Amino acid sequence: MTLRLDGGTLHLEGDCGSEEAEPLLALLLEEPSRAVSLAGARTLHTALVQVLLALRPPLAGLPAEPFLRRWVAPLLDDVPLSEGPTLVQDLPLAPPRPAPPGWAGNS
Amino acid sequence: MSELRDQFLIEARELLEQMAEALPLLRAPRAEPSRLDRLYRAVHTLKGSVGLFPLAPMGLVLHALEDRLDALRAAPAGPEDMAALQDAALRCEAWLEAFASRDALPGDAAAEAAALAARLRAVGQAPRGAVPAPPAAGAEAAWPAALAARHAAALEPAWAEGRRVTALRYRPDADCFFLGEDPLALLRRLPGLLALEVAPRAPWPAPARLDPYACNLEIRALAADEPEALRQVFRFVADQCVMAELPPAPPARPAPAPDAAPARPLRVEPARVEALAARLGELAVAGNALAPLAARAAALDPALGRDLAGRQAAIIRLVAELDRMVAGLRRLPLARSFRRLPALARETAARLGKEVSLEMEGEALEADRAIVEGLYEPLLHLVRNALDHGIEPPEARRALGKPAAGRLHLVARRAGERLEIALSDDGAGLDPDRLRAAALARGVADAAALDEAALHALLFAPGFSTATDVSDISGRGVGMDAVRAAIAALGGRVALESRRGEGATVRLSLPQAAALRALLLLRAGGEDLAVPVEAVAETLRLPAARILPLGGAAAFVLRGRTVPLLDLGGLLGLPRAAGRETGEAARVLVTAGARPVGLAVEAFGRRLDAPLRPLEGLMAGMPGLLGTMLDAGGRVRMVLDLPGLTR
Amino acid sequence: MAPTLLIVDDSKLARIVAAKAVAALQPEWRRAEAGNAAEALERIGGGGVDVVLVDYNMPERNGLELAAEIRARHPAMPVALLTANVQDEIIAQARALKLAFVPKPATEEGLRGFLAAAALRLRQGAA
Repeated sequence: MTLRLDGGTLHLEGDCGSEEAEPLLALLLEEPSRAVSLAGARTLHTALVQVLLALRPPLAGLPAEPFLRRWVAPLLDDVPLSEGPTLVQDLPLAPPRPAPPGWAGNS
Repeated sequence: MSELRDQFLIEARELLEQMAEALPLLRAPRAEPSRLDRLYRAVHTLKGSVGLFPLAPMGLVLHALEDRLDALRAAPAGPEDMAALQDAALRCEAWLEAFASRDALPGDAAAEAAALAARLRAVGQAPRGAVPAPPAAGAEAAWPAALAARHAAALEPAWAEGRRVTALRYRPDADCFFLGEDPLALLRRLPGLLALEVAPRAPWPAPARLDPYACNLEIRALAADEPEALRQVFRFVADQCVMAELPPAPPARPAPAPDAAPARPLRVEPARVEALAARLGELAVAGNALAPLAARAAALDPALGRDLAGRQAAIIRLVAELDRMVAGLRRLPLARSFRRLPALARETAARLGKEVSLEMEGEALEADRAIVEGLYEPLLHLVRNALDHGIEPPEARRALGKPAAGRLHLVARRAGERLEIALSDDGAGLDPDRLRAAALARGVADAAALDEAALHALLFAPGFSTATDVSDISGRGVGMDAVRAAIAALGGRVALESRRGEGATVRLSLPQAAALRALLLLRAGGEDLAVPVEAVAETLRLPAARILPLGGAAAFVLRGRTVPLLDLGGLLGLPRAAGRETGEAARVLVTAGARPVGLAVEAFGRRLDAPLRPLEGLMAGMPGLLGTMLDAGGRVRMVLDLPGLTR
Repeated sequence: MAPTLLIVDDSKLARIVAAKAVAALQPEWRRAEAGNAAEALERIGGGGVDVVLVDYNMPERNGLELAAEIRARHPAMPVALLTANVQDEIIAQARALKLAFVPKPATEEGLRGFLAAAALRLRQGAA
């Protein structure tokens, strides 16, 4: 399990593969106030980064892994790096909606 | 923290004042360059010191302000520019006062800072008055330049080193995830990554309509590498990538550049770092003070005691981590101490009628300021010693078939966590027979049986010198023991190797940082003292019956070995411990090393990690003392140099 | 029903290595093997194959040619090319066929991304 819900926080831990993108999205849509902790993440598939970029959940824990900490976390964090304008657009969170059909469950 | 903070407030107010005075000058078509430079410097300096405090929003605005000012060197500022610049400066003043009175910025500071920074950038990027727009088709070809401009600060170190820089734009296919691709994982394989941007290619849909498996990203990056190196990494997705090598470094800027890149050092006054380190030492002491409290709490409520002890341990861990970070700020190249040695060696040799060359290696290695500066005296002593006792006079060398000029070789290198420094000479080496004779003459008990290594070790004992004529070069009464004590005070060790007729090498092994030292608290002669844990082999309770009288002294048998027993208080010239006469078991510390000695003390305290403060003033160079520490009660304790006391 | 993965390689040893790695990553999946392109096409034609791993370097028809035939019949089937060392020209052709690349010898590490992606694709197709 590389995706774990603990209270109001989603933990991405270890080597997080693309297969977690859909459950991650579903859990964030279900409760948009959920924070995401990357503290235990070792690798984070781009599909997961994309979900985080699009939904911008609050980050609860910064990754310890150097690449994620130096390069990926700043893309997701609202505190802009002093290096330049962040190009990522902020979208207001939409009200929670049920996951689109075809995603839920393992068929 | 308050001293540092006070200093910051004084300086920051002054700098903001300078800014406010100089800003209106920007309106003039040709402002006087020196006044503009002052403005630029003020912004830059302030930005640097703001980083030491929780003032990130202010840092962000100052950074944008600095970028804008840089662009305005070429052209006068328009009204939008002036308004944005002045608003930013005014906001910084308001924030500084908020920080001064409440130690924090207002809650909306981050949002306001982002808006101010965006405004400053917008007046720079777009035609006056326009809202920044997404790059038009015409800008397509200019993306590498635009990318480089956004990350100018990150590029600077790479350019300073003359490295080539390649810009990358990578648009992964929408279905790339289904092919098992992980675009960002490829970026991980770029060792020279300098900047990374990830943006949606099409605006994000509403969250509920997001397809997590359709890749909608554009990745832009700068890497300090040639395009070919990037091509290798991205060859499996070559159809989705565009690469362009940036033209070589732009002409140097007249003023220091923004220092956002982690590789770029921040200029901080040494005094501020020292202040930070000193406060940190006090924090360590305060953290240590919680341990006895936890023990007291445990007596009342074991669970509470455990919790408290756990929290205390966490604080100590954090303090140690901070300590390492501060240590990083205090690093200096060894050259600071090394570079004065060659001239001194030549001068000393000339006085002795000898010739010498001193070669050095590894002086670019860095270590903590205290280590680098603390090394100078012992190294100077070792160099003088080698010239005085090691290197033969030119005629003697010629007779031996050696070159007339002696050769000293000073080498520094890293060995894991430690720094190893070796000073070798090609002189006469040590004469074991003379050493043995000197040892016998000084009443060293088993001198006749000592092997060469043990004889060498004797050289480091206080007052032991083999020079038959006392020269003014090595000095009277200060010998290798002073070197050993100085190195020990830095947390280091000294060893000596000698090949008779070929020369000698003194090896110093030192920590790279003057980190917290593990100390054992104890009481002896009615005084609260401490000793470095590494000097202690073990601590024992020794029943009176096991203490053997030995002439006027005492000894005990430890695992088949007879160990002399001394009274620590007595050694220090303090009243003797009382317990022994009453038949109570003695508390004994056994020293580490090849020749262990038992030292009777009155009580052992706890072990703790604390910074060791060097001896100053009258006490500097006192034999038997390494330095001082602050204990949990805020009292100063002497830290003993056990080898110095017992040899 | 568990998906079936077909490993196409003329080397028995290479097939065993790949099968082990697949078993470690997707223990429920069924595994089938083919020693050459003709055998592979026959097996796929018989139905029930969901994912294919093709060695590039095979006698007679090489892996790229085989993959092209598979792609013609099954536009959405996840197919990966097992390669030790490939030229850019082959990469371009493989990309045009929407093939994934798996470095040879096949390890768990090398296969992880492709198998995860294939599982996604199959799940999407079934949903």
